[in-house]
Amino acid sequence: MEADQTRTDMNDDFARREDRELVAACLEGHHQAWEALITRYQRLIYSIPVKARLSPDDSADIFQSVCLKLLESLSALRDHEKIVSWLITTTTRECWRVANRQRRDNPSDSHGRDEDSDHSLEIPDRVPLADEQLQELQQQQIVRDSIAALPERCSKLIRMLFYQKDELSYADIASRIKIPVSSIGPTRARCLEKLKKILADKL
Amino acid sequence: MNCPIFEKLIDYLDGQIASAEAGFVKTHLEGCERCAAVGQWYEKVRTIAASDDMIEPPSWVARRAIRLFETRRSQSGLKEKLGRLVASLIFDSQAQPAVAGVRSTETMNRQLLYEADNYSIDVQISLSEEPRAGLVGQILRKDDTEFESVSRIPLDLIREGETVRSTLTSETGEFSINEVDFGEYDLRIDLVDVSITVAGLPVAQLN
Repeated sequence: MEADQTRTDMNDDFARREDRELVAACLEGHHQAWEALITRYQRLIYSIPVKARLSPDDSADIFQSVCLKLLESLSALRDHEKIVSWLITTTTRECWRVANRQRRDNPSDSHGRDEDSDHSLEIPDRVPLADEQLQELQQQQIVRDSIAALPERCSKLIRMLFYQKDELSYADIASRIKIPVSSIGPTRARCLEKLKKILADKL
Repeated sequence: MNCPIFEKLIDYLDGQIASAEAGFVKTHLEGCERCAAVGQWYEKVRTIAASDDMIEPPSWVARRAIRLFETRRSQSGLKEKLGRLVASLIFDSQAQPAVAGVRSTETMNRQLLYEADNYSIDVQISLSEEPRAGLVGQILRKDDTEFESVSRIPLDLIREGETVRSTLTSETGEFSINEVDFGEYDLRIDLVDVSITVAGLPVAQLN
């Protein structure tokens, strides 16, 4: 029981660390740091091939391939300020590689596809995602990271307010974070002020 | 005019204050650059979060990537002990005498079987689209019926010292590399406990 709690606390601790600290911890052999990195960036990495309409199998392979590249590049990324941009570039290149391979393997599929064609054969025309979409993803990731860096209760509250607003009532939220409903407003304001400091000029 | 407190500003932007108070905050925002900037910041963050439709991968996809860390770590530790092995060729279908009655198209596939330590590497080369070939194969470990030691293993196809193609094995140790130019390659397989090189893989017809 105590060991489980210690493990949870350690995972929470890694989840709040900055990328640079996680990379350093990975290089020292802490697997929790690697897990925290993957957990942090899993949505970003996976969303790029999915949004580029690559198949679930290809998206899963691209995910694995990018994570492998990340693992092999940790030393080079030791002083890298922004893993986000590195991941976006690397994942986009992997999407390119897979899409080009498919185009070569199935040259007829890139032209004259009919509307009922199999999803797995839909290949992006030129680029996996437009620059604006990639920039949106980057901003979404920055906001998620900054919310995750808040103290635990704040992080939970803001996540619920921002990402689950339509599913949860204030009463549900209050019960989940164990505060009175009347405290949600002031607590939210305090948490948002902290978020503003963390985000500073990142957006 | 005194600025409304941060909480009041947020309540206003979320539409959660009475209309009389809302009117005051609205008027204030129109004349106070500092509060207007806070309002713009909040709107921007809320809009970014609301547009966030990033997709979480299936849990097995994330778990598999998390496992990479331990796999790589054990690779670097164990390889120091076992080092790198060069696989030996034990079977080449084109080195066998042609069977009577076999048509020429049936000899367009070349099968090669290599062994190194406890591993066997089966490579089939499809030579039907000269001057390019397709490689498919499977890596197996004799004492591993669950394929754990050969699942999601990185493979590099190397020509003249340069890695020209890379891929990963499937859950069952299978791999596929399409459109390989004819030539002689080394296939490097980074297994958990050892790195195996299939040296001089002949991607061409036997002369």
